[in-house]
Amino acid sequence: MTTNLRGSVAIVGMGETEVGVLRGQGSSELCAEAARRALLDAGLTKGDIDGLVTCNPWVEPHLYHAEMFSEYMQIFPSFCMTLNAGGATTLTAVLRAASAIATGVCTTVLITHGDNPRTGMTASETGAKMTTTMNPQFELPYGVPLTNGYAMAGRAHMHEFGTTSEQFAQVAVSARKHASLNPAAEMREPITIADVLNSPVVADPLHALDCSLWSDGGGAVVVVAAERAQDFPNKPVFFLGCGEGHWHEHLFQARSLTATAACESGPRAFSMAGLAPEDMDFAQVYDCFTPVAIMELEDLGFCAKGEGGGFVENGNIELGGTIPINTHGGLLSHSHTGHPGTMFALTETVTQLRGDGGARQVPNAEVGLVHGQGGVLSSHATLILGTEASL
Amino acid sequence: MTNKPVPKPTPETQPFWAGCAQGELRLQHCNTCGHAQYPPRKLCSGCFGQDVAWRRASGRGKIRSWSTVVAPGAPGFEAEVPFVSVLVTLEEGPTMLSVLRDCEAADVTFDLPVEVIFEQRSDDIFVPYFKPCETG
Repeated sequence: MTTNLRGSVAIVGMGETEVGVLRGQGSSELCAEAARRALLDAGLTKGDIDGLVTCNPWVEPHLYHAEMFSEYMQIFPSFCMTLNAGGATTLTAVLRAASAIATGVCTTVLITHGDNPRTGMTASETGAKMTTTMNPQFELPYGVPLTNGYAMAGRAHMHEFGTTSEQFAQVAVSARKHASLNPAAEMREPITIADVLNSPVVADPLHALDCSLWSDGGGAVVVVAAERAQDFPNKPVFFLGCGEGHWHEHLFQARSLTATAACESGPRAFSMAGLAPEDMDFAQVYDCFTPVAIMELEDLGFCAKGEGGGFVENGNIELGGTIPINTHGGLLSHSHTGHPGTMFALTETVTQLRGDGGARQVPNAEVGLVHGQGGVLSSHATLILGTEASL
Repeated sequence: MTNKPVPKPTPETQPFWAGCAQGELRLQHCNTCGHAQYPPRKLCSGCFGQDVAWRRASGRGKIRSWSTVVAPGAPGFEAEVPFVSVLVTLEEGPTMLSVLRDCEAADVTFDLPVEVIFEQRSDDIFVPYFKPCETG
């Protein structure tokens, strides 16, 4: 027996905290504030929630985080899980929420994430946390940070396809352009390709401005069955398709340095949605480092493999271009809150499909894609959402 | 005494680290499907068979990619930066993360031939590093 999840559920509430330097706000507190705002947006009270999905923050982790947080909220869900797929977590949460609602396990799922890695940890604590992502016997003994792993993948893409540092830089420039239109973004001052190339080399070939931010913040959404979607104060946004791909955890075990499991998660999501890349009005891709966005644009099918470098030029990925990406500013310029990072790509997708994007609104946006990646090119999840007209 | 991370062998990986201590890089080979694997596992990651045997590897490989580390990702490496992190594809097939010795970053190229060397990390742990070598 299979159940088609297309159109089965909708996001009827969303909340975002401020992002950036939020000194004095802990990760549970940010998780709670995001949840409060999402419930308010949905016109619900906490007692209406019978499904809860969280991710473990770095600053205040708990072995059973979702159970801890339901206790914190004093809610008593029938579906409760902590997910851990790094930057893919948020979207794997939506797929599990949809599955749980479609199978009758619960009716109203709150997905809430919050963390404060920017101000909640010292530099040495952050370093120590980062080492936990490494294979303890076969990576950690070399003292090679995660950034150099992404850098090696970026260099391989340059070698294999002729991608240039200027093309990497263009991803950061376009992200900043979008962030400049978003009052909620952390970094809003426009930058140029020269600014990126003149920023310090942190892990060659990556410059500081090729790297995402490091931020405090939280976000949340509320998911319900599509039949109930019209019962809420704001315009619902419908689940059209979702797919995942998981190829490795550690980079040295990667099947490829230049192609990612997005080439599987994307087609799975498009297949469920009955749509193709050219049907998307915008796409939020995971831009922890600039080469990653280029690889994902290729692997998701927005351009041919190897042509991502040229594709990001000439305004193609900006508002008004072929496929505007990261309309909120992305991890590069809006915020990177750690595991909750992709939540802001999801809430931005909801914002765009509601038509609430203000100066950064994609005109007549009906269908959008959001992609998350965790680890070092490891876990991939692709979600396609649309307005009622897209059903 | 170093404060660099010291690998803690597990039952699955102990033969690998024992080999390193004797100056040899060992890989597992599957007697059923011929697959060579790293890191060590109880079962073959090719066919999931049980008949996996340890063999001494050639210790040679080629650079698959690299990046210079200026901010180390673990304690104990502060005095060594900058150093060149590498992904090495071994002659037998698997890829290892490691660090390249005896080579300036500007001299590293794709497919540069390298061979394993070992650096002592503790009384009984030796960590495999690589250095450039002649082809063949």
